Amino acid sequence: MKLLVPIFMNCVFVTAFYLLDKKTRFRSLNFTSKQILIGLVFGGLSAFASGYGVEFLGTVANVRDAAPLCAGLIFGGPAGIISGVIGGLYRFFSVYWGGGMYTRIACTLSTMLAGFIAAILRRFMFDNKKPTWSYGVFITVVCEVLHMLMIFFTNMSDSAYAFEFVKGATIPMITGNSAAVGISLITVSVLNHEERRSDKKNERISQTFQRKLLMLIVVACVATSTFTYFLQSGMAEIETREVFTSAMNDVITDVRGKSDEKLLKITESIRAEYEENKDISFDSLAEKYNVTEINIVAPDGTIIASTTEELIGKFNMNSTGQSKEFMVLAGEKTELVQMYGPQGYDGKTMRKYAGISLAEGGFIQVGYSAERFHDTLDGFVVDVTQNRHVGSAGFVAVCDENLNLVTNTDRNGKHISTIGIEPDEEMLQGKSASQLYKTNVVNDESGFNEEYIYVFTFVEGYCIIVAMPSAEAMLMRDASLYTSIFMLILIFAALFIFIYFLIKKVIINNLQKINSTLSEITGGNLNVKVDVRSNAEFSSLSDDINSTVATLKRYIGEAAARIDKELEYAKQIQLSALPSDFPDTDDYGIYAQMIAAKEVGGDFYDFYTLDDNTVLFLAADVSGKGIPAAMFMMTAKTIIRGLAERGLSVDEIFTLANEKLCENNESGMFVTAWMGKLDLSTGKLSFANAGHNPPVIVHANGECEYLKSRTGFVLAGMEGMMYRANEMTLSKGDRLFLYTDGVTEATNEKEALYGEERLKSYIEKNKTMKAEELLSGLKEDIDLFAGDAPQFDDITMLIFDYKKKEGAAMKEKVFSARKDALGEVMAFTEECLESFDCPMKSTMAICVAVEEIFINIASYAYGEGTGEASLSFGFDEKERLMTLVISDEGVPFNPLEKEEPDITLSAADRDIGGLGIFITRKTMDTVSYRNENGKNILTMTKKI
Amino acid sequence: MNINIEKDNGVTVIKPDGRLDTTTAPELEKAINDEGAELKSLVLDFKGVDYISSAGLRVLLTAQKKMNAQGSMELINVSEPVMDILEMTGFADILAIR
Repeated sequence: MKLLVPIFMNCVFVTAFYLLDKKTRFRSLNFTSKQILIGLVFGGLSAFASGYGVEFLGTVANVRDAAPLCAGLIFGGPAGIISGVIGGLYRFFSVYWGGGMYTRIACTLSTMLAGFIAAILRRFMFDNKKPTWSYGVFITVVCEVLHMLMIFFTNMSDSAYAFEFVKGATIPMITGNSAAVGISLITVSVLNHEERRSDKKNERISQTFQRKLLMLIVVACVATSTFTYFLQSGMAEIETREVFTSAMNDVITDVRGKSDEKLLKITESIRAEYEENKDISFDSLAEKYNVTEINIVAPDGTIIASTTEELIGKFNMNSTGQSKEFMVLAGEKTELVQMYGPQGYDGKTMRKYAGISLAEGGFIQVGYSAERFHDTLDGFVVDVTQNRHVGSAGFVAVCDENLNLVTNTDRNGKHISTIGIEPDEEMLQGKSASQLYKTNVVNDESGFNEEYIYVFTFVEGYCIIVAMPSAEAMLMRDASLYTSIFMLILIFAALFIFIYFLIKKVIINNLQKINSTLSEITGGNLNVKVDVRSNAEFSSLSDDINSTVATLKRYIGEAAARIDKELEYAKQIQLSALPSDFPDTDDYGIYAQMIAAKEVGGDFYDFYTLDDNTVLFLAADVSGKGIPAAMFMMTAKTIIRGLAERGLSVDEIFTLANEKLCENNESGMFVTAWMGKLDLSTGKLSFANAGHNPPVIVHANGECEYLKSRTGFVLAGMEGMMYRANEMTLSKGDRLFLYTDGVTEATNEKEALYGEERLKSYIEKNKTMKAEELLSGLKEDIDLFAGDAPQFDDITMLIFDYKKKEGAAMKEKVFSARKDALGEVMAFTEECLESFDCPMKSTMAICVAVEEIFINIASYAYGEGTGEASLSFGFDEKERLMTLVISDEGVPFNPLEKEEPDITLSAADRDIGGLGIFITRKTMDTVSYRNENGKNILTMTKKI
Repeated sequence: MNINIEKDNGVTVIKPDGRLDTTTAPELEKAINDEGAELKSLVLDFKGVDYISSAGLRVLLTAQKKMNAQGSMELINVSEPVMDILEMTGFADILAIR
């Protein structure tokens, strides 16, 4: 009961530390300090447990070893070792404050060992995890067995006492410690919510081996122990019997010798008196020598004289077996003593006879009953038996024929049942028996309070009992049984660990090696090889796996080659769908290139003319790669082209193309695109952008910029998107560079992007290059930048050069020279000026000039008749110089010759005449007049 | 041309809207003349006029002459391009521009 306190404490501390480590800041402590702290606490616990134990033969059976085991197995090796050492040292020095000296060394060592064993097993057998409770109990049992053996070995000189101690301490110590460790481990498992039964499928090989091995070892241990038990029991019985027999024989010899000697002596005395006086009274002789019977036998066997009258002349000695023995005295033998036994005459009466031959022939026979010779023999028998030891604690007891003790002084005359012997049939009949008997335990102060083993024999009317305590008889058996069980446990534990490591080394480590290689292969690395060659089985397994992987690799290689080939076809088809006949007219030039990445991609460019004056061009990029992207690209290209050829504007083209592409676009692909539509005569460019990269525009004057505009959503991205057209006017010599993100997002090995800045500066630097040269140069630059990094995406580039014919900017229109045509004239003028991108202020000034001149012509040139006036606008983009020529075929008139009005006059004095020409001359940079072929030609220029 | 006429406390505000060119100038001229001899204070709001040619200038001159005789005339809200023309032709000096 006292052991329960430290068992409970152990469990409480284990739980406490476990929870501390799981739930509180304690876990953030570093490993070393945690181990030391736990080691110290459990060391203390171990010391505490030393005092709380079961007192036994001067020493205490306790659960001191449980704390180091718990610390070592649950919390870690160092903690176990520290706690073991503390517990051990405490035990070592505890002799100074009342600890037992007897088991000092054994206990000290075994407590320390417990810590070390826990540490070593946790580290090497349990992979630094806590074991299950069954292993914990197993380890504890082994430790305690070691402990017990150490008590044995440290006390070899006093093995019987040591054995007594071990016998008493084994059970409480093994159960106590096992319970402490087992309960602690179970508690921790419960706290940890561990599955109580592990699933067999997930059981590791090592666990299966351990489990089966443990079962096997337990069975082997039990079988061996049982065998030893029976073997040793048998041997102990034989030994005990031998001890008994020799003791018994000695006693018998002694008692008989004395009894025979005594009777012979009496007989001799009686013979002497008879020979001296043949007529002596036999009765008086018998009385004198205290014998029962005296017979004188003639050489022929006839009794010639006797104390028993009826025998005389009637009984012949030869007539019974018992009496016939005496007939040897009629021959050469002179004396004979018979054992106490029934007489031949009636076969019942118990007598002891002796005979001595007479000088005249024949012999004298003397016999007496037990009562008579016991009186004289008892003292001797007591002497013979009392000093006789059987084993160390055995004894010899003698009873008379009534089974009353004669040898034990304080029990003399008492029945043998007082010493625990219950007579059986044989004993009651006075027969000797050969088996071993056991006494009852007599519960009084008599000293017979333990079980004895005894045998008994009847001799000379005595019942002689030889007895020995059962414990002594079985001491050697028990001792060897304990030692052999202990040794077995240790040997099997060692065997267990050895087999465990053997299996681990031969099988499990190799399996793990193969598994890790296999998972690498599954991860996609087909180049690793399994190479476990520690034995034939694993070699062949390795070879099989390697050849399987090699076959797999070959198939994959073949499949990849086939796919590559098909992709190559796809790429060719895709490329052939792109226009490769590049126009280079007086008005414009287009050159484009698509460099597909290794995989087939979805880039495309396209261009087409609607009529002589309109050209469309675009660059686009389909999301994704591979066959799907290429097929989507074909669809997109076809749809856009179809819409464009219907003459729609770019915004309409994109809006409708988006609708069509959104239909049945389950794969969620989309296209980014930039499309421009150019009026070749005016240079008016309308363009739309659907999520595409802004093109680079290189102006004729050498300036280079990104043509950024409002970007619409990608095509095929969402239904109902509306796209917007942007407008600008291209000047002669302007160049547009369209591209896809394969250019700007070309990546080098450092993951850096080629980028818009680099692209712009390259184009700017090489603006004078021909389109073809520029594209190949740019590709080289990109390759140079990318280095060894593979081309990740398609690279598509398109260059549009706007060349515009000489004088193409001249816009001319003929009007009828009437005032009411002014509206048309003004509209034309404004249109032209707008196409020149003329600022508002200049536009107004030019409009005023046009109105003044036109109204002049309408009013005066043709007098009462009608005629025409022609307006012609020219614009030098580079100089931003507007040239305006107005001509008529009316009467020759030079407006410049008209006198300038005086603009300083007051309102009352002012005349309105000539103000129109005045304004014209003021606002235009130059105004000149000439009359040519009957035409009045007024030419004006203005920088706008 | 759209011409808006407002009268308030003897002040007549005429608001032409659009280009004041050869075609439209007569319309403004007619609107001013329609006001007759009673017109004492005329304000021409040029907020809506962004273009003026010599025909427009002529109407302004005629109106100024007329108003000099019977009252006063003011030109307001003149846009920059129109003002340029007025300055260029010296009209800025003879008109009351506010």
